[in-house]
Parts: sequence; C-alpha cells; structure tokens
Amino acid sequence: MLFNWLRGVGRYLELEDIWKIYGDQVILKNINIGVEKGEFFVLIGPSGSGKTTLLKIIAGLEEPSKGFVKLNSAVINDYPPHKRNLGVLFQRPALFPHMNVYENIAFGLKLRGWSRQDIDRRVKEMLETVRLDPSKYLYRTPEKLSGGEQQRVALARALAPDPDILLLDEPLSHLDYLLRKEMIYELKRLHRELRKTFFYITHDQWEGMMLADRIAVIYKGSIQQIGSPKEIYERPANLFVASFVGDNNLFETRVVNGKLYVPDLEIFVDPGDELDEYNEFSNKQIYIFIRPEKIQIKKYEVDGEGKGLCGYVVDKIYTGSLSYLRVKVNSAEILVRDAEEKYMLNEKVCISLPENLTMVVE
Amino acid sequence: MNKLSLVLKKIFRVYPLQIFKDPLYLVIGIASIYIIIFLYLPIIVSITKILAQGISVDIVMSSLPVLWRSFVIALISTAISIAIAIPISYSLSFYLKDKEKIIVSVLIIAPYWVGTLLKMYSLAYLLLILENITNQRILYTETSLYLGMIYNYTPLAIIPIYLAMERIDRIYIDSARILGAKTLDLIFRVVLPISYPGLISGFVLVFTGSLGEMIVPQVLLGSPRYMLGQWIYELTFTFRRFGDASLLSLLYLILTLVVLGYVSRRNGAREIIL
Amino acid sequence: MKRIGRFLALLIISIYLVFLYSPIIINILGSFSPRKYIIDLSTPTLHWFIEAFSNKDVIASSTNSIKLSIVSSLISSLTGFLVGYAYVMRRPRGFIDVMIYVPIIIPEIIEAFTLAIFYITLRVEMGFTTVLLGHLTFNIAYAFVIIRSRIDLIPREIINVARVLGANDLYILLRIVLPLALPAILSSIFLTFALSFDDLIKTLFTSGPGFKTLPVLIWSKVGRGGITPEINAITTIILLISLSISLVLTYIIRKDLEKLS
Repeated sequence: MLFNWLRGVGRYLELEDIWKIYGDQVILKNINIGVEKGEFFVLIGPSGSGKTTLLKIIAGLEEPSKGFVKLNSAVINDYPPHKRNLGVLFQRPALFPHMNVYENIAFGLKLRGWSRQDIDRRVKEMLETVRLDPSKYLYRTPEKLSGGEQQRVALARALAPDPDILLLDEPLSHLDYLLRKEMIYELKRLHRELRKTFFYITHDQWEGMMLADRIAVIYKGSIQQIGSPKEIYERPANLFVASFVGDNNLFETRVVNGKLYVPDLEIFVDPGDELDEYNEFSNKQIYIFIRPEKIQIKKYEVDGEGKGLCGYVVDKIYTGSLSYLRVKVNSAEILVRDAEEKYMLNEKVCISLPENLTMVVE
Repeated sequence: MNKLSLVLKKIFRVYPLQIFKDPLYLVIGIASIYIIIFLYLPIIVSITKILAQGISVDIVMSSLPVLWRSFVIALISTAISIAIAIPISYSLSFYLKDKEKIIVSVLIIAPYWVGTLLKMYSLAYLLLILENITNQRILYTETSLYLGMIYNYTPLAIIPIYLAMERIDRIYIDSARILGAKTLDLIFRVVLPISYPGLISGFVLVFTGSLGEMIVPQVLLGSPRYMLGQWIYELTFTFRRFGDASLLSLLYLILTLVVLGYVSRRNGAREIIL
Repeated sequence: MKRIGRFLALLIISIYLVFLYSPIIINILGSFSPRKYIIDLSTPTLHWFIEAFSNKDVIASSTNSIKLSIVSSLISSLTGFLVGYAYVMRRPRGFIDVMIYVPIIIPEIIEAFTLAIFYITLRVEMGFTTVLLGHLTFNIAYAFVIIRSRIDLIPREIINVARVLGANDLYILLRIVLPLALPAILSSIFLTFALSFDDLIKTLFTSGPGFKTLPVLIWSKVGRGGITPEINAITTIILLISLSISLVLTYIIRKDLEKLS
C-alpha cells in the first residue's frame, strides 16, 4: 500500500518554487521551504499572507499553480489528500458531530483497515496521549465537550494513524489565553514524546517563537526569512521581520561620510557592519533597530558623564511581568525595558545604546 | 487540446475529459444533460414549430383580447396582492417574536403545498355558500376571479417582501427611533425604501406568474378562453394549433426572462425561492 | 405606543390568516355535511367520502397519484442529494451553476406546454412515464436547492479533515454527508411528494386519457359539473394529507437548524 511505501521512504518535506495564483491575485510567490524530519517548523505571518493556502497545498486540498511538494525527494503533487499520510488540525476542532469520540479517533484507522482490537487499543492510547481519561471520554459526543477538550480529541484523531507530518492551522487561535498557554506546553510535550514532524501556522509570533525549532516568516505571499527563533529575533532580514517579531525600536538612518547618522536621535552610530557599499548615493535605505531590553537606562545626573542620550519618560507600560517606558529623546520616542520599575513619569533619564547595533537594509 | 474542448471549457468551465475521470463531474454532467433534454430541448422544439407553421397575423389578432385581458388582470391583482402583502410582511417582521414568526410563516406557506387547484376549489365552494346566504351572484364573476388571483398569489408576494424586511438590520430602526421617528415615518422613510428591491422582486414574480395563470380563471370564472394560460391550453388540445400556441408561449417566456433578468441585474442578488 | 402597534400587527395577521384558511376549513367542514351547498353539521356524515371513493375513476386516479408521487419524490430526492453533493464538492461556475435553478423560476405552463409539444413531436404515448419525466424536472430542482443548502452548511473543515484522514469522495458522501444531511433529504422527499401529488398543469399537459391523476380528475369534474360534495370529500382528504406533510416538514427542518446553531 501507498502508506507503507511513503513510510519506508522517509519524512523530509520540501516545498519547491511553489506559486499560487487565483484569477489575477498572486497568493503565493516562489515559496521554497525545507522541513527536517522531526522538526517543529512554524510559519508565521499576518492574516492574508497566504499561510493557510500553503498548508492546504501541502495537504493536497489545493493544487499549486506552479511548483512541487516533495516528501523525501518524491514529488507528491498528484497524490490526493487521502494518499499522503498526513495529519491536520484546523482552527476549529471540526469533530464529526454525528460520531462520538471513539468513532472520531477511529476514523482514519478504519480507513486503513485496522482490526477492531488494534483500533480499541490505539484509541485509548491516543486519548491518554492527549491527557483525556478514556473511561470518561470514550463515548461522549462532541457537543458535550468543551472547546479545549474538542481540540484535544481532534489532535488524537489526527495523530492516531501515525502520519508522517502533522499540519496545524492556527489551532489555538480560538482558545482563551489560559487554555492557549496550556495547549502550547501540551504541543511541545507531544512533539518531544512522539518525535514527529510538525508544520505549524500562526499569526501570533509569540506562539511561534515558543514552539518552533525553526521559523519561516511569510508576508504577502512570499517568504521573508527562514531561521531559528533566535536568528529571526536578533538578525531580521528585512524591515517587515524586524517590525513583525517582537517589540522593536526602528530608526531610519542616513549614510554621511561613511558613517551612519540617525536623524531622530541626532547621533552617529556604529552598526559594526561594513558600510562601504552604501553611501549617500545608493538607493537602499538602512534602518537600525534596537530591542527594548538591550537599552540601558539610568537616572539623569546633571554632572554625570553625559554619554548617551537623555530625555524624559512620557509613558509607563506595566504588563505584570514586564515593565516598559517610552522615553522621549530629541524627536524620537524609544521603548525601553524597565526591569527594576523605578522610573516615574516625566522623570529625566538617560539611555545608552548597545555596542553592536543591527542593521536592516531595504 | 483541440478547439472543441476549449469551447466547451469556456461554456462549462471544465475540461471535458475531466468529466470522465471524476465521478462527481459525471454526476453533474448527467444532471445537466437531463435538464437540457427535458427543459431546454422542448423549448427549442416548440420554436421550430413556430417556424414550421409561420407566423400568421390571424392568430395574433384573435389572441389580442386574451393577451390584453391577462395583462390587465395580472397587473391589477398583482398590485392588490402587493398592497396586502406589505402590511402583513411589516407586521410579521417588526412586531412578532422569533417563535411567532416561524409559526406564522409556516401557516402562510403551508397552503402553497396544497396546489392551486385545491385552493381555488375551496374558494369557489366558499363563495357558493356565500351566494346561498346572501342571494347575490358572486361566483363566476370577474370579482371572484380577482379574489382567486389575490388569494393564490399573496403568499408569493409576502415571501420576498418579508425576507427583504427581515434583512434590515434593526440598528437602523433603533437609530431612527432615537432620532425621533414615529411609526409612520419608519414605514415610509426607512423600511419601505430599504426593502424596495424586495418589493420589486415580489411584484415581478407575482406579475409574471399571474399572466400565464390557467387554473384560477377556469375554476372561478368558468369562461374557457379568458386568460392566456387557458388560451394556450385550448390552442394545444382543442384546436391543435401548435405553432400558434408555441408563439404565445415563447412570447410569454421571453417577457418573463426579460423582466426577471432586468430586475435581478438591478438588485444584484439571485432570487432563490424557498 | 408599541403595544398598539403590536395589537394592530397581530390583528392584521390574524385577519389575513382567517382569509387564507377559511376556504380550506369550510371545504373540510362541508364535506361532512349532508346537505349539498349549505354547511349543516348537526348530522355529520361520511356519505360523500364513501360515494367519492367507491367511484372507480377516483380509486384509479388516486392510485396513480400515489404511485407517481412516491416514485417522483424518491428519484428526485436521491438525484438532488447526489447532484447537491457534487456541486458542493466541485463548485461549478457559469451556466451550469444557474441552469439547475431554472425550473423553479419559469412559469409552469411554459414548461408544461413545451414538454407536451416535445412529446407530441416525438409521437410518444402519454402516460405514467411522460408525466414522471416532466415532474422530475422541477422536483430535482427543488430537491437540489433544499439538500444542497444543507450540505453547504457542513463546515468545510470537517470535509477537509476527512479527506486528509484518508477518506475518498464516496466514503465522505456515505459516512459524513449523508448522516448530516438526512433531515434535509427527508424534507425533500416530503416536499417533492406533495408537489407531484398536487400538480395539475404539467400533468394535464403531459398525460393522456389513459393516465389520470387525482388533480386531473378533479379538474375534469369541476369543468363538467362544477362544485359537488363528492369533490369536496376528495379535496378534503388531499388537503389534510398535504397540510400534515408540510407541518412534518417544517418540524424536521427546524429541529435540524436548531442543532446547527
């Protein structure tokens, strides 16, 4: 059977030059992604960037206009969804309303011709994996389950046939905050225990950062950057990634006499990267960005060292675990992390920027 | 791909070969063929009958009275039906609770599934009884004909009007009331203007249906050649003048399509009657 | 102010409902009355029913009507179900999308007449089959509309999940769509049964002297003798059956829609 063949061949997922055009709208542009076996791969991007379409193409629910979907080097474009041995979890649990929990989870197994005993065993195993007590849940119907429970059953259903890859389409977006946090840890645990390849889509970059081994950022149909969460956070490839992931302070700059000048702060900075190719005549715009937690802040002392920029606090933002300040320096408002929470509104402060600044060229 | 496939693709938006690989397309194909054979083909056949027989001025002249009468009767009865349907729809939409709305809608629609013949028969019987009581001629007059038309078509008028009124977001009503609108203002300045497309749909549906009505005049008036529907029937089965009947039927069809097409283009939405 | 409004509204609706139902109720009552054109229920009788249904023609045409309606409703509902599923899964556009709604919009006499001409041209003998084929044309359209809308209400994710889990189109049709669309299919069967049973115009045009349905029989009797109590009796039976069908239908649809939300 096809499943065995695919299983034997391997589980490495590759998206090669994928395009999707609908009428005269280009939804996906030249997508190239490679997912390692056993990886937790996350695709993040704002709504409308084409993520769900890409997932549907991987699942076989839609056809790409151009390009190939490969599973361990074998092109699977022509395979309908039921021959691809994948699992999928959507935003809504989409449990079959006319079947109980047992029948829902057994659905994929029945299709593969499993025996009654094997199915029984596997269903109970799956329920335990998603931390639902079989004795209580086995024969319940979906309408009697809470949203979180339904999502767990949907997960069990998707994993029961032991798919090569689990596709997840923003499965947590309809859950409330507490439930979402709980499910994120569940997903991480499951991924560790099952060692399965996960392909996860979300617009919430915190979710993405927490879950991912590697991240791809997508915007308006094209991939902006692929890398580990650390790479994406600390070395964004372009302006979009820099502003999309995490809080950031972004500044426009100008190249003046081989040095980088920040008009809003009225200072020169040294980005630590070569500026040779860029001068005032090149038409690329350089931005520098600084993460709030990398900025040092101290009280303003009249006869202090004067090194650094000085201004005053215009806003205090308290979010429980973290505190931020917005500091007005010259014509810019900078977001600064206030670890010790000791500054007041309108207080005069001075900030100092980190040694190496990251540059983004557009 | 050869040219024929491309042409077929333009019409049906599907490559013909795909039909045979995919059973679902096959199903759609078979259904389409059935409709073509039993709906569209007969229309074409009747057109050929017209061409075969030729159009005679004779038939047009002798049909004019019937056509004119049908037009007038349809127009008047439709106008009255709409006039009745508006207050009923308004009452139903704005003054009844949800549960009540469902019950009343069901009650209004239910007689429709009984069939025109039975409704007209019942009405005739009622009028007969009234005749006996009041010693006045009611049945077999133009009055009874109009009563029958209105009785039959008012529910059909209520449906689109009621739906259009239901679709009005109650926020508009609330805002208008807060701004000081009284009920009469609401009716004439807010609800009717917004539900205007529904009114037009209702009018058009009832009017085009009434033109070709056959059962109502036969049962309630008795005169065999009063309206268009009866006339087509007579031409077909009594006089066997197929070409003439086809001509009239075709004219009726074209009129209906033109009017419906014009209205749905203006309103945008497709009319799905249920 | 609002109370006056509501009172008026209820009044208007009540008056209309009375207007709508009095002929029907009078008809039903009159069929039990021993006197011909006056309703006298002091001594109700089943006389007219017995008279009517001992008539050979009445029995024959009733049987015809029932046979026709059963076959018509079953075939059209099954077809409507399959075609509805096909349309939801493949979403054809353009002419094909619209063509199946046409029988609902076209005035029945045009359909009836053109089909009659078609049969006459082909020199086909008019009987059960010719009538049935004509009925199927509009019944399939109605069945399609009802069932397709219900299938459309099944969340797309459910079908997609099933596809990824390994189900092909047939499996999804039988194990997922059919159970969920069952109320709509039942409603469709009842509705198309009623439509076929009560149909006059199309049947009149496409049947011959050999095959009469009950409405056709009533039509000819009314044409000849006008209003008679026997016909009252017959129409009463049909009225009661049709009205109860539409009530059952509504109940089924409501229950189903409640479950959805």
